Amino acid sequence: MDKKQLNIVLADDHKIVRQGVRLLLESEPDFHIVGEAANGADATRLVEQLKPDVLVVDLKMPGLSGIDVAKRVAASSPNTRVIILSMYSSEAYVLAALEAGAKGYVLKESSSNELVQAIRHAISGRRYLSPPLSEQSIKTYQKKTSANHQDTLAR
Amino acid sequence: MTRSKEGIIQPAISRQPPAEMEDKVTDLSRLEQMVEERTAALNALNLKLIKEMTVRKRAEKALKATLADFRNVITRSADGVIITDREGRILMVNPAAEVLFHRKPGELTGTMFGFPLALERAAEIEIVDDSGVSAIVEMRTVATEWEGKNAYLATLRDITTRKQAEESLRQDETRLRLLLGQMPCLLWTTDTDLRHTSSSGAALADINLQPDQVVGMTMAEYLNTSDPQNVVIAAHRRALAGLPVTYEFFNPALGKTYLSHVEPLRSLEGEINGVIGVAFDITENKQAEARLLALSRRLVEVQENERHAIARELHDETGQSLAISKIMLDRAIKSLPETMTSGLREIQGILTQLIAQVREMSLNLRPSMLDDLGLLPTLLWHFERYTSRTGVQVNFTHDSLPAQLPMEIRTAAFRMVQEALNNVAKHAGVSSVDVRARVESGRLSLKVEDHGAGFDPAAVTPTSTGLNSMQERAYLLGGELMVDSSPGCGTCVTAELPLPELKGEHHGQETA
Repeated sequence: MDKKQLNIVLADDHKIVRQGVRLLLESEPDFHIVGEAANGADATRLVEQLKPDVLVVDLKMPGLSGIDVAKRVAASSPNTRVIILSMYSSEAYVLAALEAGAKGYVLKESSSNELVQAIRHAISGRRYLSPPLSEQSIKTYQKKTSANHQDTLAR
Repeated sequence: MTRSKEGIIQPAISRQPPAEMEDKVTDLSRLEQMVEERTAALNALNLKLIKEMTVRKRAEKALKATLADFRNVITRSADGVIITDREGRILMVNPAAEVLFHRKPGELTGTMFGFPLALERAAEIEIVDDSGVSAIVEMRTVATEWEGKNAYLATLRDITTRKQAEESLRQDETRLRLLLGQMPCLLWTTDTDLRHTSSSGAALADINLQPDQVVGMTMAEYLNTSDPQNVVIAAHRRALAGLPVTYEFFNPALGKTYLSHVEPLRSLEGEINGVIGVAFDITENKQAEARLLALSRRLVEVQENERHAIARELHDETGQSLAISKIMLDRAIKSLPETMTSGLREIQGILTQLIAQVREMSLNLRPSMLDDLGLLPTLLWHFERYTSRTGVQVNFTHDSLPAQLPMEIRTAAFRMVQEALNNVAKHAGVSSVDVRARVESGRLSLKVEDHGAGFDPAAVTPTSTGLNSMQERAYLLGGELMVDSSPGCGTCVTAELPLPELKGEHHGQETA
């Protein structure tokens, strides 16, 4: 393998999810899980310390959410790509995640290779959204939130 | 009279001169002259006598007439008149008196009167007839003379009707006073200086006051205040100006809340000469109301929290486990030869359905984005879902919605719009509905309007449309809900919720 090894940190408050995702990612020979965190604060600390290539983080965690973590990581470790793992397919969440600097938004229920694909997209500098989400649906949503709006909405 | 006649004749005899002292001729002529003189004197006397007798007759006639008048007056007097001698024997009685005593004409004369005669003051005597009916008679007695002897004159007036009216009035007053005393409230009147002129009512006892105990005290003294802006004093002043005022008043010294009403008190001529007031002690009602409000609020909170907890549990625990099972199954399928995976693929399909069901259940209970992202994204998400389910298009406009809204306002606003849209889908029979959300002068205003079937808001049972719960939510946040509808003219539901002082920037990030 001439592929460069990718260091990944995994953050989810559900142990079973961490275990499943770890199994999934470890099947990729160049993916290397360097750390796991069960909450947002730990994840932020771990990323700051390890400066991994990728952070896979759950959207909803007690305390700091995945979106909060993404914002902090953007400042503390700008080279770390953040992939949000989520149960929610609403554009509102996706938009919030993208605005926080996430490079990928992957639904937990999606097929097993989507997360791998998302990580590879992110590394090559592209964004990845789980189907049925798309860049187009996000744009449409963005327009709707500012429609009939006198001021612009933050997100 | 006899004497007087002799007196007249006497001088004529004494002037006759002796006959032997004169000659015959002289005597004769002198005699003649004398006769003439005497005749003239007699004539004059007669004339005088006739005149005198005419005067006397006239006087006698006048006297007789006066007496007749007097008797006539007495006889016809409506008041009874009785004259007795000093011993009380009746000398004279008029018909009115005979009627009063139920006696025949003349029957009383000569009998003893029987009632004590008191001079200088009015006495009341009771006369009972044979059938037992009594009459009250007022009697006034004066000392007089009757036929040259000392006597008493008693005038008698039947005052039975007056007495009955007085008694009835007295009874009415007593009854009224008793009634006022029983009224479970405070009642008072004041003069134009707001000085108490009366106070009554059963509620006086609750504040340890006797009826009329505060009479003479001004309202300011009674309330122990020098504040001219005091709500009670201000209300009384308005009443003095002719305006009835209803107000609620908490008396901190008594720890009681009163619902009071004051009105101008007017004289018979219509001039305002004071204030009349009534106050009901609503302390217990207020406390019950506060408890009920707290309970309602708590109920809504508990329900929402419970929904929140179940929604979160379903989505984050059950849903996550299902999702990760699906991923792992997916991975297992990939690692197995295709011939062995058909049964596993079936399970995969079931898992996908289960995940979708669990998500639906969770979202129906409470959309998590209301907590995570705020009202606007939740409304947009809801409209999309609503349209795909009902086919009713939502024309949504929004204006100046702050990103940061307090959680209870977000929840109430979302639930009210949700409920109103449900009603539109169920009852209006339309293909589109207008929803407007905006913030104006510190209030969040939500409007859901359709041009559909409409209904009569007065005829509807509140629970059937969920209007009740919408009203309750608005009320709990100090806001209001207005429903404008009539059959055939569509429906407009408007909710106004006061916003607390907004913290942070408009449209800032709103995350859980």
